[in-house]
Amino acid sequence: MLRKFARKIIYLLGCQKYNLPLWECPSFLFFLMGVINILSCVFFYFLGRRYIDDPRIVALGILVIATIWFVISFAITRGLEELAQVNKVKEEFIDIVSHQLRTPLTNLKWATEFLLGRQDLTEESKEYYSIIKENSQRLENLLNDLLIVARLRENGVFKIQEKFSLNELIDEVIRSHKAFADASNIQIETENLEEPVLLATNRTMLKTALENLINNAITYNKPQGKVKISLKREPKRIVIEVADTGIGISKQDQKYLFQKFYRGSNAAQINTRGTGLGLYIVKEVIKKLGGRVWFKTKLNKGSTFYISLPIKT
Amino acid sequence: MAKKILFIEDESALQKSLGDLLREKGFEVISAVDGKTGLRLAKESLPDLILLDLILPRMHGLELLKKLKEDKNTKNIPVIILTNLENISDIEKAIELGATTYLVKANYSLEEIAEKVKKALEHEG
Repeated sequence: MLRKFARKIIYLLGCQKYNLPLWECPSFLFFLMGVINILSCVFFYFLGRRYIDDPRIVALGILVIATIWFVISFAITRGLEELAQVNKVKEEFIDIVSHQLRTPLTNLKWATEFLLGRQDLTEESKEYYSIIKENSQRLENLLNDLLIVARLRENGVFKIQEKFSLNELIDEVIRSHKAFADASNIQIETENLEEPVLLATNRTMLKTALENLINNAITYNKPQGKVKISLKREPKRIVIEVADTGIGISKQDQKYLFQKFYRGSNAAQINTRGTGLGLYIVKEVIKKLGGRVWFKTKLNKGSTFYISLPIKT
Repeated sequence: MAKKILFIEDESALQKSLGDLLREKGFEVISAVDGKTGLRLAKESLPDLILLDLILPRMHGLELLKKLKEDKNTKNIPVIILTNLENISDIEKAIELGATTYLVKANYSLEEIAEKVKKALEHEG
């Protein structure tokens, strides 16, 4: 009943065009302020009458205050409405970008992948195809990172949940990083991945977080280094550990590590391509999935990143 | 007998790369580049699995999916949504309409998509 009433008000006030809940809809807030304004006018009129004999003075005082309040609330709601409008344009823009920019990139990536899968390639063509593939992948990763950052404020994406095996997801991410690890002379090991763990959460987002961690563990490792991925099951949560034998994170960098666009000083020297978005995305994504991220590190010895996620039973 | 896959996608480059890979993996792939043709081919050839893009000319992927699920001959065919549009309401609607799963193309490699297709078909027996 109440929900039906709320829906009707949302419709009447045009809130649906911003795709916002009632409590964030500018026109509803303005309407609510108006109602409170009228009620408080009446209340203060009667209250004022008890202390001041002349009703005209009371009425005039209340009228002046109510007018000021009305003007202020009008300005605030106008501001909110403009923000909501900008937000809507942003969402539409993201939709267009995600479709129109990604499609040609996917075409490029898949076509190159197909060619690379052929047996009759010369070493030279293989090398050139790999360059095309690697660079289209780089563009795609950058685009994905920017899209995720733009979308972090929307809760909608995170509402999509599916049941899946965490073990399979980890396998998938390891497989997609195998070539990169081999090329960097890094060995990827796993531990405690035998026992199946079923999760019900947003798979795509979790995959993004894991990819970022594993990618970092390879990128900021040392030659002949190792990356170890393991699972630890606790009564109410599962902890994923990604440990590397890399360069570690200095004391000064540690507190800023999860900030947007921040890059560790030693990391920026090793890899000039990073955007500083990876760990920020990991932290925000995992937070949205109801989990937590933390790390332990020793400079020049390596770092271990932990992701804990609740297990819903 | 080779499993039959109907691939409804308006991007000819994707039709070629994924279509060819699936053929190499031993599947029979039928292609449609617009929604209406896709629906007609689904009804005529009754494939074992449908790969469906959402933004399609002549009929939107969601409308096509709805029509497939309304038809008693096609309603049990698993449908995998392949899209690059991470529009939450479209994805939710697709799942609600009965799509088996949705895959954001940009997040997967060709081999991974082929693997998903294989799994979905095994699942269906």
